[in-house]
Amino acid sequence: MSTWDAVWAGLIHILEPTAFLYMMLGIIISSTLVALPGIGSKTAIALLLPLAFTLDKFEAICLIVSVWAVSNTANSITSILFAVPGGSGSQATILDGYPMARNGEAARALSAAFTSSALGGIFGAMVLAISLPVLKPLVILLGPPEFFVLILFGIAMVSTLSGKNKAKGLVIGILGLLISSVGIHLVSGIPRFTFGNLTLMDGLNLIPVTIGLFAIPELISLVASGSSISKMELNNLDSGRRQGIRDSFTHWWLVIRSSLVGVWVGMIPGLGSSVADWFAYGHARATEKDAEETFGKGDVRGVIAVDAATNAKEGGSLIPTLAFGIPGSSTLALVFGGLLIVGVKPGKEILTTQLDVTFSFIWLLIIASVITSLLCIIFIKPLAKATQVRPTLLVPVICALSVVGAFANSNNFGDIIVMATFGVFGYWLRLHGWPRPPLLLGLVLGPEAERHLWTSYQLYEWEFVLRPITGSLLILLALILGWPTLKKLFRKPKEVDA
Amino acid sequence: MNLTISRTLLGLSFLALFTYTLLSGLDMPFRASMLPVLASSLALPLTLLALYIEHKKGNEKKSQAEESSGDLAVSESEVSADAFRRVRYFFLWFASLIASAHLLGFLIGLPLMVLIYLLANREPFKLSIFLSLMVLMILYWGFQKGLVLPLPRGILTTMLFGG
Repeated sequence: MSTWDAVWAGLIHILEPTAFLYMMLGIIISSTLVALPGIGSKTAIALLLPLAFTLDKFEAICLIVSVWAVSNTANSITSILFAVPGGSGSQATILDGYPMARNGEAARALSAAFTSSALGGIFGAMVLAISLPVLKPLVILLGPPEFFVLILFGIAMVSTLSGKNKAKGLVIGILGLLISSVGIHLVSGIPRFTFGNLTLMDGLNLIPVTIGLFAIPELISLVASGSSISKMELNNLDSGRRQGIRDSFTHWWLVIRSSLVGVWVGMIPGLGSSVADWFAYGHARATEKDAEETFGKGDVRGVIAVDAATNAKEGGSLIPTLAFGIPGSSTLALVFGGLLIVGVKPGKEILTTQLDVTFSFIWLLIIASVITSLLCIIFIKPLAKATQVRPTLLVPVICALSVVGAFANSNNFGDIIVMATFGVFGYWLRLHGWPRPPLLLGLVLGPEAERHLWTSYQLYEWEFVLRPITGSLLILLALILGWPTLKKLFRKPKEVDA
Repeated sequence: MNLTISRTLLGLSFLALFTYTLLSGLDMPFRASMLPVLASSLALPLTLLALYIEHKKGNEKKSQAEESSGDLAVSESEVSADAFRRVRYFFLWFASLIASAHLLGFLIGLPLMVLIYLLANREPFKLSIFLSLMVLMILYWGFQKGLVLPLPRGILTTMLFGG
């Protein structure tokens, strides 16, 4: 299949009526759930995975990818209206979005955020499309040892960027790898860590583990905090929409620069939305005219920069995911897991024989971003009202759906117990500052890591670590992990001199 | 439970778990043991290091706020005595939700427990009934009919009304 054929086929696949309907369903569910207090994109995807499991390949891609691709858009609503970040990617939106809302420019801020979000999404997708010709030969060049180390690299990057105590993130990432090894070992037939339990013989399914690890602790957190997100009145949402759209196009150069920041952050596994928004805000503040005086007081450029970057990041994060099978973020690890279930395997195939699948991702990023932004601009008011739903109404309904979601995967009641166990475990981890995303990454990448490890050992024995690319990656990894300690060592003499 | 005890217990659980996986891995054939042994041998010293760093930082609240930066941060209101009381009730309700799904089946047990939760939290009666019925409709039309998912009928329901 030529590249142009793949571009065309990718578009046709997602424009097929059923697939398109699932994309719309994904957009509506994602925008609504993300707008609800305490429900993030991971919870939305976790709850939808059982449904995706029953669909054909492109329908499932449309559903899962659209939920993920547009999850940053609706996040801005709570940030702008109530100064409560709707997600990790909309923290910096508060700085200028909330003052704008207080100045009576809520609609302008929201439509500027939604428009720049769409523009950022399109930019990210274009960068992904342009980078494909470079990625193809690179991926073909890599063998099992390189892929094994790249997987370790991905887990370590996500782990080390999970907080101040990096060792905690690494431990949780390794725990994810170990959990992936539960069940009968496919090649040797040896049961590993199953304790004779039939549910564990098949291994731990991604869906109940994900629902347990991410949805349940968030619900517990809602119960614990015991209050709705805001009791503020929703006024001044009618005027200023056109102005907001115009603002995004007037500041097109800022949109492009912020989108580039987003793509760059997205390409590095582990750096997520929570970093992209601050980087873009910092960049805009440092480079825009008179920003020092107006930023933080309700400058629309602060909103535009952040929202363009957080959505452009998604296109960038697909680059390591599709090419090397290393999800750029924990949410993408979940998307990746869902895609594996429907037979879409990142790596060589998706960039060669299944190029139409890759282009359907790119088209989805573009089309879903534009549709979501339009819907958000049109339905600003109902979406804003969704943010005021009481947790007491949300918690029981989502819990009931989580139980069915965990069961639906394999029609096995044992999976509900797995979900509940991981729910309690996830809450325990969260309570004590142990990051959960690396566990998911380890769980998803575990089987691939084990396969590449064994193949590498068969080909080169333990000497595979000495191969040029593998060795360089290992040294780079060691440098990244050891950098804080090295920095301290180099700084000490200066401090003593001073 | 005291937060410090809970934190220590979590750290010790990790140490016990990785020791177990390492020892079990050593008993497995080489091919099956490669990943578990390699991962456990890395995890054990890293866990000790993580616990040492945590211990060194000392200030419990400060370290929690800093370290959860890669995940959703735990707010002050979530670690108050009142919050833990609400969480305890939630766990009790959640366990009952699963038990009722097992005993009464999904179509009766889940909407019933949703109704109980809503009424216990003093939500308006009509709204509680509406939401419970909505859950029932989603389960029946969405999952059982739409996705052709055979929802279990429950042990008690089957005993009383037959399979």
